[in-house]
Amino acid sequence: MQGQVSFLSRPIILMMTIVVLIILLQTIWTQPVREKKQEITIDLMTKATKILNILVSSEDCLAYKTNLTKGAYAYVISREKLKEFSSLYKDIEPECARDYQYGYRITVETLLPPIEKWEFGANNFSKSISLKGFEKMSIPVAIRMDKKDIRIGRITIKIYDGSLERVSGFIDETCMLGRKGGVTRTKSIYIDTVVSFRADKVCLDYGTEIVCKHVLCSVRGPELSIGDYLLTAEYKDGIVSISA
Amino acid sequence: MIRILYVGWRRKSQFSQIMSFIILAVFVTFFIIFIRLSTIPSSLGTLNVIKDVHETESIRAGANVLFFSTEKLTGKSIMELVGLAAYIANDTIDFGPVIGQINVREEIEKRMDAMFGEGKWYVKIPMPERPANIQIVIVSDTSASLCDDLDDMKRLPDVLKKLKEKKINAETTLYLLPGGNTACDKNNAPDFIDASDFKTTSHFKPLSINIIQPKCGIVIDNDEAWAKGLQCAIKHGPIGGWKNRTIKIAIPLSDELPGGSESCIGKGSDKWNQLQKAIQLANERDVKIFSLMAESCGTIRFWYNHPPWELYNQFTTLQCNCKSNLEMYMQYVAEKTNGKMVALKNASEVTKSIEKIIIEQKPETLAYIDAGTWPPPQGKRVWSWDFEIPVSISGIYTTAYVYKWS
Repeated sequence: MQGQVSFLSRPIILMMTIVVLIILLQTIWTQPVREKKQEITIDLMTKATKILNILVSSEDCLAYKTNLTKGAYAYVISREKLKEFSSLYKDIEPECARDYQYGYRITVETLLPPIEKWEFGANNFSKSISLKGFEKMSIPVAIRMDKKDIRIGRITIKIYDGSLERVSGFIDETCMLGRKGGVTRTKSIYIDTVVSFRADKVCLDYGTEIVCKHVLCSVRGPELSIGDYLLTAEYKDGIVSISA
Repeated sequence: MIRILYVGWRRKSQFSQIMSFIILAVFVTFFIIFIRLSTIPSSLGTLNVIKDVHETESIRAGANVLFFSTEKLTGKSIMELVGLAAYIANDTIDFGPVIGQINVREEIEKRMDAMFGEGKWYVKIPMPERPANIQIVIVSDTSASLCDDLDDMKRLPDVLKKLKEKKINAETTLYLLPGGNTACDKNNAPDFIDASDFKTTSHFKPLSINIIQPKCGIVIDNDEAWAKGLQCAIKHGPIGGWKNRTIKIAIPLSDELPGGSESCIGKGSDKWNQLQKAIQLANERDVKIFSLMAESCGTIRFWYNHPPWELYNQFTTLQCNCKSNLEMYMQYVAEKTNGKMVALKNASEVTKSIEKIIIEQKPETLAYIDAGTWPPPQGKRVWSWDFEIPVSISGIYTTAYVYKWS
């Protein structure tokens, strides 16, 4: 009897130890993933706050500039500029507050009747496995309709981090730098779904749908399948050429 | 036997080795986890800092947006409206029949509720300390016994000027009862007291009450009829009339009953009825009466008031005998109008007493305008922002304190 008990207890102890080890190792492996997610959230929130501040405070963006002092009021934005931005940047982020790592869309609306709404920024963003992070933030703004009509409103940013945003950001940054003088840049990017370049768009093919994002310049390049790439972007005569 | 023991011993030691290895592996794993877990609080901490920065930005934006936004009917910014409200010390501003009244508190509530949600914010705007804006009418007996009191009052214009420099605005009109030609003794010569004896300044206007009699419709028949004089002065107001949002004061100065102490009668008399009328007019117009009771018992020196001039020394027996009745009249008229009676010990106290009355006035004011919910629910993190508001006309500032919580 004693022998039978002793015969069974060793394998049981061994099994339990293996199970505990598996759980502990699982914790170690998933820890970096959780930390990475938090890092992305922190980065997105920081960037979102920064972009909102630039949009509402910069005269090059939405801030209302008074002729009296030749300065801008903080958090007072002009309706004229909102209309302009809604038209000019209906599917791309405005240049005055462009970010080359993330993509975003802005919504501005009045909070008291009559309700008016404006939108601008990118229309399409990374999805499913390509989407690494997303945040939504808003702050109050005053919308100047005219000299005697300034209404309270809210500006909201939806900011995305994903493959589409990183690739298009890389192209846009090359384009902006290239306009000041020809440039060649390289960047290491992991592609998690098929990427193609069409005229002035970068597209991700998810199989069931294709999601495209406008970029600042025309872009040429080969189709990229899943994998790690060292992309080279060369700007010449208004076109960015991509090679892997 | 030895072989069996040996085999048993070998199996035991193999098992111990395996267990030792497993224990070591578990210990190392725990150690790694402990190190990794210790990094989590710091990244959580960073996340909280970022959220804090955003919330601070949000309330800063909210405060700016609130005060720069405009009210629909007036086209004025909330900052201007709050400045006006601070100036008039009232949260409701009357913009006249076309626009109507605007309640600043309601305008703030509407906007803050839309931005942050009901029950999640609080705004407090303390009203600035403001010096009083005062209008005074003095009704003075001009009989011979008041010669020295009126002589002292000649200092009043300079005192008012000094008070104005301290930002205490006291616009004063001195109404002299008819007579005023009493020959007061000055340097052994007759000196006729009338309005021209007093300096006229932007803050002090002396005149005979005869000038306003036709307008107030009250017949004032002698130099001691201070109750009727009060009625006329209160009804007419100072030169330029009574204004809104000022402290209104009437000061009768006399050492005799209204009309004279020759007939020293109390309640129920015609003199008393005249006093009641003055009280009624004062209360209708929100005028406080501070009565100055000049000393009734003393010797006066006066020139008999027509040629050939003769100088008399006379003890004021009549006035002295009626002193207690006078005190009753003076006390009554002050009490019934939220004023005070001042019994002068001698003539040199006239200007000093008027100055004291002025200095003691405090404008009725709101302590602060506030809106929202206070205190916040327990355990909530509260963010706050201060915003400077200019107070209309006065050139001073007050601070709006804006709070919000999630």
